[in-house]
Amino acid sequence: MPAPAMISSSIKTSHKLEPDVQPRAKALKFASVMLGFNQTALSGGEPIPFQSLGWIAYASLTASVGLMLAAQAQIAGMHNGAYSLALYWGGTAAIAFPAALRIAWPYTPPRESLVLILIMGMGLYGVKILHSPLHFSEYDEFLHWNTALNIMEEQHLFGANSLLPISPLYPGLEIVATALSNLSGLSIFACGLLVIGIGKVIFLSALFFIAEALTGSPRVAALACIVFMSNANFSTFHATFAYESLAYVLMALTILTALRLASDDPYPKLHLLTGAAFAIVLAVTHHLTSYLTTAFLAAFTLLKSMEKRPAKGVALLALLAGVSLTAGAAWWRFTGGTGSGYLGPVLQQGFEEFFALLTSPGHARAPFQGADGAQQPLLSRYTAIASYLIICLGLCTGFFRSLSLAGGAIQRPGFRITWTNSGLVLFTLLTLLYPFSILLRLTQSGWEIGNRLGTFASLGVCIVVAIAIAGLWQGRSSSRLRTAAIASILTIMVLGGGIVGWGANAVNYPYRVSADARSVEPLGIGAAEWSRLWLGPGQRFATDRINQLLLATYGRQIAITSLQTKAGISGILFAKELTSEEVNVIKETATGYVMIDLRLTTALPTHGVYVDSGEIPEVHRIPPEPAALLKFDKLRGVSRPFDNGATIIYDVRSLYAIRSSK
Amino acid sequence: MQFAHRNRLLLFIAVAVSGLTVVALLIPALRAFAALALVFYIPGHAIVLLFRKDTTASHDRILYASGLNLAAVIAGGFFLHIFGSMTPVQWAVLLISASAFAFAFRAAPQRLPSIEQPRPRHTWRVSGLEALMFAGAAILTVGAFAIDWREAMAHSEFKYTEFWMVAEDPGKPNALTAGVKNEEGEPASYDIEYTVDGQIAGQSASFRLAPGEVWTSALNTGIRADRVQRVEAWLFKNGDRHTVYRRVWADIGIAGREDL
Repeated sequence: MPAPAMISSSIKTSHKLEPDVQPRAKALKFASVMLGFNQTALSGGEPIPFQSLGWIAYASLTASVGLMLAAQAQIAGMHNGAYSLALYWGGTAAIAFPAALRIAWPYTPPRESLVLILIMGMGLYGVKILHSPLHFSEYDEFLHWNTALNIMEEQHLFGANSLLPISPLYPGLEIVATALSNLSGLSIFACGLLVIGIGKVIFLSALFFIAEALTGSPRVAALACIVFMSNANFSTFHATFAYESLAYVLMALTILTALRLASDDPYPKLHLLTGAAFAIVLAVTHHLTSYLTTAFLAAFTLLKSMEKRPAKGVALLALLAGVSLTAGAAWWRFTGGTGSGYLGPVLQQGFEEFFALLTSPGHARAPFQGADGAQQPLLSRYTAIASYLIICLGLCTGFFRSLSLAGGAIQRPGFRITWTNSGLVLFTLLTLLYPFSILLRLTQSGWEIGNRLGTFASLGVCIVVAIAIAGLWQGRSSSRLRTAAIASILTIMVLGGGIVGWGANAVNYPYRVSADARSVEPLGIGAAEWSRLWLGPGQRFATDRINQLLLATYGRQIAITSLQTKAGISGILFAKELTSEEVNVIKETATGYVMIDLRLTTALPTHGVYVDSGEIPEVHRIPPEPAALLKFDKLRGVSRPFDNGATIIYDVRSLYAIRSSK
Repeated sequence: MQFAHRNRLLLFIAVAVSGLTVVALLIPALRAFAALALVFYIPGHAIVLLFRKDTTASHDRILYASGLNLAAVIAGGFFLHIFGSMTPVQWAVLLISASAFAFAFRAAPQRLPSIEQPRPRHTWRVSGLEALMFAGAAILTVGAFAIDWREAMAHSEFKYTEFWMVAEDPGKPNALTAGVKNEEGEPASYDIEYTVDGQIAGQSASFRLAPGEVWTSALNTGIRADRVQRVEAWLFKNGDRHTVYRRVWADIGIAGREDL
């Protein structure tokens, strides 16, 4: 260790001999500090003991004010109020900012941070519930509600679901929701909200302890949780009643047990057995999340086995990864490989579009713009872009800092790379998926893959960005200005994530054509319920995307979908005349009824399709003509049993019987 | 001897807790709370107790208990699918008996080095202002959901009337029932006119419906099921006989005929 005087002398000498070296050295030092090459520990004071509920009370109060603003935003939307979006995002900021402000302070007690995280997470989830307080409204929610209704009616698993044939084969979420519904007597909707809400509490707690285990810092853990809440799916897709929402809870728990196994815990039995239990039920809950978890566990085991010092628990980790792999493979085989049939085409088309985008950027989907051409407000777009930029800056200043914290080093001779914290290394490497996820979001079909990949990458992104905040942006500074600045940045990130996630549908009103949640309203629900009462359940219906959902759930009918039948039914609805081609589709799919919705003729579909991706392309240039939808009026033999002015039901069974008899 | 005595005591406690849970499930007001405890915590907690309590940090135990509970419920769903059916009674029996069984066989605590450090106890004081803020938060939160729920219930963007005509009995396609449901958001009066193959066959007396009210009537058109005929019904609203407000029809005697 050289004495300070010697260092000073050395610098002076160097300055005298090579005057041009100093700027370069300064630049290198600056770059080193910014990128965190040499950061081996996170500076910061000791958190103070948890003594006061003051900030928790304050954050609860502001979160409830935020919820009231969000409720007023929805009500304003019902009456076409001009300020509904401002109220909505104001409410979200009121939920996020106070909690972020307290968490950004370096000395906040860990348990208080965790409680604040849960208040914020539940507040954001509350905003989602306010979006649709009476019934499920998001597209995926209907798919899984249909499976849950089948379980309730049949009292057994694996009943057919034409909306999403793979859903009954991964029934974890629906089992939990129907068990609660059976025991409590509450509706599936109420039980779904409870399952997802409690799942969010478990997930955020698990994420907090994962980040704490990786970094040893409760502050980084709390910051990481806020950054994770800024991913586009947190308060949207992963707040819906869909199998992936519960799967992420199980994934977080599995990862937590793996980290405990890899630690110096002297009693690994509980961690191993619980981890195995989580991995097994994850395999029957969601295909993709199960595969990603297996890949994570395998990579973690590999990295752990290559660590600098002899690693403990590698054999147990390998065992856990093996259980996860076996469970996933066994369930894949049990379901007859349905997962690959479902995921394969999506992945293939997505990656084809991704490569097309790389070679020809003209293929890009316009961001912040619906398929109907409607754009988001300018301020929303800037907030979302700012959120992305902050994350990118966090990744730039946190990536090498995280690797350095993980003990990453290049050993000479031989340039051998070593590390001591495999978990942190793996989470840091996960962030490399993030840029791909953004690019995939710019494609038409790859959007879904990018959306899923982005959330998975966010597990790494949240920790790396939190490390950048705690290690550089704020460091140990407890100045009010810097703390408020960090809280503002975190709030902008949360708002930006919400804007990207919700798109133009943050406020659920008024009605828009083929806009999922915004197309679900009493008129369509009434027509579906009428079909159950007067036609009886189990009739086969050809209809558009939204009425498929309503008929299957409220109507308990069989909605004919291309996912199940592989036949395109859009021609039945939109062809100007019913030719033999359409009649053949009616015959092949055994269609009994056709429901048309005249509101489809008023606008292009907000989410890109009226029925499904294979529909006739003419209808994407201009909306279909009412005459095309009403062509059944001219057909002798086709009855018209129902009319509410917008939706009309035609009974085409006679037509089918005539044609089959010929 | 001591061990056996302890196990008997634990089994008694497990049975008593199970009994209380069953009673709670039978009382409607307590049913939801008992169900939440069963689906999200009690069996998982009992399973965690199968392991030595002092080997895991308390927050891990709580998380693991919640996660294991989810796992147990999902596994229980498959069990009931194979060996029973997923009814309320079978769910209750399964989850309560699994909890009682796990609790009765919980691991004995041992004097082993604990991984948890003893922590000083903090006493929290809730000041008057904090209590006021918590109360305000609760009121505002409940208020936000209540207002949103009430407004969403009352909101219907489209005002409409449902009109239908169906054969309730598939064996009697000529026995038709017509119906009207008023969803206009205000009272309205309606008239219906029937035609058979374009010839006026009858009309209903004018009737008035309040919002949400339903009117149905069996049609007595005297038509035969073996003849090809179109029975059409026109709905007029608020006395406007110049505008057909809704139109429905039934083609009777069509199926299987070659002469169309």
